[in-house]
Amino acid sequence: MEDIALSPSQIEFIAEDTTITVIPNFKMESLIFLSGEYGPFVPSFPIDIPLWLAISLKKKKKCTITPPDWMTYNKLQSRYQEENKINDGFVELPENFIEISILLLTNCPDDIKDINNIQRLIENILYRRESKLKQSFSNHLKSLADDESLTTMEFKNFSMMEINKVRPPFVSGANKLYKIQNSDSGNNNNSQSQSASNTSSRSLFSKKQ
Amino acid sequence: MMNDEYGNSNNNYKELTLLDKLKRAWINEKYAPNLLIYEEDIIRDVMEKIEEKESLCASAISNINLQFTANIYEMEIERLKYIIKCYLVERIKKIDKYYTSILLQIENGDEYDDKLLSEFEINYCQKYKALMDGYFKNTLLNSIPKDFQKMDSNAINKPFLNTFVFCKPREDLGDFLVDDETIDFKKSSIYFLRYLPIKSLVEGGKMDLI
Repeated sequence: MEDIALSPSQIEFIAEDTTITVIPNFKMESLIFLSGEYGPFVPSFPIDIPLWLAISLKKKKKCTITPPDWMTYNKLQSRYQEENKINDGFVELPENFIEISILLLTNCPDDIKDINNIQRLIENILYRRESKLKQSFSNHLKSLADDESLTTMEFKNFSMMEINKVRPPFVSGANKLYKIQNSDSGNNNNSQSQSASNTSSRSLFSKKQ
Repeated sequence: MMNDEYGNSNNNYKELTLLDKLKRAWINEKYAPNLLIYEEDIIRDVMEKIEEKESLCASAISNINLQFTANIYEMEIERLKYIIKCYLVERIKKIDKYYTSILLQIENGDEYDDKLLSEFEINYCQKYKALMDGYFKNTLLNSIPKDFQKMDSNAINKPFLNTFVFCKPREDLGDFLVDDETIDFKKSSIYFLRYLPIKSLVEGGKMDLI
């Protein structure tokens, strides 16, 4: 029971609100959703609609889905190469690229060119990113002095699904470390900043000019 | 007329759609260790839209020409209801856990804390506390010496505010001092840090948990 993270299906649910281009084969007036207006639907005219609707229409054979630009073999290949080149940091990809690509690969395989290669590339990119992430966390821990508390880490181009995957170990590990360090500083008097930041972090938190 | 109100989604926070706001409320509530303010306006607005659409669907579903459109709207309604349900469940979980400290916060708090719970939640919280207190008394407290019977403040379950979280600023926030360390919060980055220093930013709607 991992209560601290959203389930992967919930993250997929969130990603389903991303818009995607489809080519409908039917006529319908505009739809007005909470996220905006979509339409009108005219046969063979491309239109942007939320992914959940696109998948539902696809299942009813009422449209074909145009995969997004980044999901082509060439684009992914160059992303993968870049991802391998840089050691710290991640290559820029759409925020929900994992969820979107999985949804598209499972729901409209006939609309994607070169599907096997694309699937393989996405998996490679994921593995590479995951190992880099773990590496960066352990490097960050090693860079700290023995009794130094865990400092803020900054990430870029990092998707929600990936965060969610590393959340349980990261958060519980960091919390344990914090508790151990703070129980130490309570007993000793070399605690300096830590206990101070504990009691008054709200006032410490001031905007610098 | 809905278009003017909830125009196209944009990266700019000012133009967030109602759906985006609802989703943020859910995710922030999910990851914040403490109970956040009840998003009364958002929930009310979304519920109004749902009711409006439900009544439209109910009348359209009998018309064979409109059935297809009505089905699509029904899917949207189900999705919205799911988010609202998740949001409320997260809150109830926290209330079950921290009911005493939440009630204390409301009692001793300022105007800000008054909006912490919705009317239903206050009701629920008070009833829950009464039941739990009664339960503790009957099962344990009445059979131990008087000195130990009092529930003092140490016995209260409080949220662990120092937990680490992932967060993302809504806009470039500039330099902030977090634990002797200056951090330049940028919109394009995600940060992994303790919750307490950024608590007021999350509550002020400047930072989102992720």
